[in-house]
Amino acid sequence: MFNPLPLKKYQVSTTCILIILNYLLYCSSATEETCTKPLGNSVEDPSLIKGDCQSSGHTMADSKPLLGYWNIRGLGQTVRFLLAYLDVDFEEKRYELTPELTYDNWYADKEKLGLDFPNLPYLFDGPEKITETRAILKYLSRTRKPELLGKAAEIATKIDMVDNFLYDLYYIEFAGAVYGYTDELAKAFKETAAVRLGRLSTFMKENEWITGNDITYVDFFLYECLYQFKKFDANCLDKFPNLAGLITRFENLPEIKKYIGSPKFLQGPITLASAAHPL
Amino acid sequence: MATSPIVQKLKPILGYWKIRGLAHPVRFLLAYLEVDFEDKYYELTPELTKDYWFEDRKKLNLEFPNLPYLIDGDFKVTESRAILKYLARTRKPDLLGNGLEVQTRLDTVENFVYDLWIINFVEMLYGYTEERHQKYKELEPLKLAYLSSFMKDNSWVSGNNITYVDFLVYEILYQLTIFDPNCLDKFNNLKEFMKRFESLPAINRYINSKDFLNAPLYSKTAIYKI
Repeated sequence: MFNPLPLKKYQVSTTCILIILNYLLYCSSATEETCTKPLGNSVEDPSLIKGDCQSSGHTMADSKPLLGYWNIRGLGQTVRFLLAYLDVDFEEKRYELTPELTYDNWYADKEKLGLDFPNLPYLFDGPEKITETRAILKYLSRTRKPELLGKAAEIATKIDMVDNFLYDLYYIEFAGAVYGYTDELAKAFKETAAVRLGRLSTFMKENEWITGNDITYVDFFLYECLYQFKKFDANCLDKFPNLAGLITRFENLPEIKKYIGSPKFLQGPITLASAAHPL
Repeated sequence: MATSPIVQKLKPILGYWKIRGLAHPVRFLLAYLEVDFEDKYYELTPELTKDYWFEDRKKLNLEFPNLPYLIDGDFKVTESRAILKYLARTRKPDLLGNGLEVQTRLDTVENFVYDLWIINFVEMLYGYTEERHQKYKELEPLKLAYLSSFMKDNSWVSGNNITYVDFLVYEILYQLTIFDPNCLDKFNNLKEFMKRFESLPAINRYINSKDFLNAPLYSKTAIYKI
């Protein structure tokens, strides 16, 4: 899979893509064995659904929303934070890799859940079944707190730009660097991140949140990206105090602070154990 | 002394490479909205570098400098999907979808097709190898099947009303069929969708106009030329 010859810039990023392609291929099928274990650092929490080699038993009659995702931070964490912020009492189905580090536990469920575009994370909310992380974030905003979508048209456009810009940085550059780690990919990510975090920082100016002084759903996405980038490169925000400030501000929101201090909170890991550079 | 400022209504400018690429959904939407716009085409230098774009980029004052960009009066927007939504929001908000269920559908499809397009398809073209092509061939029919099932016999992605996502989906399917003319053989509704889109009067006019850029899809720097 890895090209041993010196990689040109586009080849570096296409190697990232190949790794992500593999990851996506795995994230896309279903059946069997959805067994989850309680988190290593948490007590037994009844809201964590444990499957016993059966597919999800969640039914429309269940009133609590259900979030399905890997037992990692990954892309799912941002949804967990938003649910906590919105004070939603939710259940989770946390998928684990098999001991052989395959995705079979997820595959067991994948095609049985009635999802139009089977993928992780997924959210069941009453009769609604949604996939795609940002679609879930927006759905939760739309149904519980529409201001999180932006109070004005201009803000909505800014949110869209940040959302798309950040997604490419996270999903193409960062995920590629951690899942298919090589020194070259790591270096490429750090260089790209320096430029793009600079853009975000300049864009944010002295605002409290990325699009202004009101928090929006994209701040939840941004927070988690920044948290994860810092785990990979502890100094990446040194030049951007306003972004570092956003991290602190986010963690101090009362609902977020409470959630981080609760037994339900998943501190880590960030990546699946199958990542070349697990975080 | 009283002055009367001359208000000049400038044409929106869409800046992008002289390819279909990521901008074509935006071009189609501008045409559909009957916006008289200017295509600012960027080309590679004879040495196949991006220097002409880099030179302009310094002067444009974009918050997230990238191609495509849209300059619309005082507003400057980048990110192709953000531009689509901006145009819908400012000219025809119905294109954003009405109601919670529709909007959720649109968000889901938008994200899903974007991954298929950029992460699976485009990145494969730019860094083409047989191995990547093989992996793509395995993934593509699965993903098209999800899309086809989702759309059922609706006229458009979200149901019976056209939305901004249809402009994205059309161009993606067009590009996939250029690469593999048989990829929609099993998905009649997706084929019908494409014909339906092409038959919209404003779209039909645009496709047949002298301003329409039919090809290429991507850059000469892509390993797979298309």
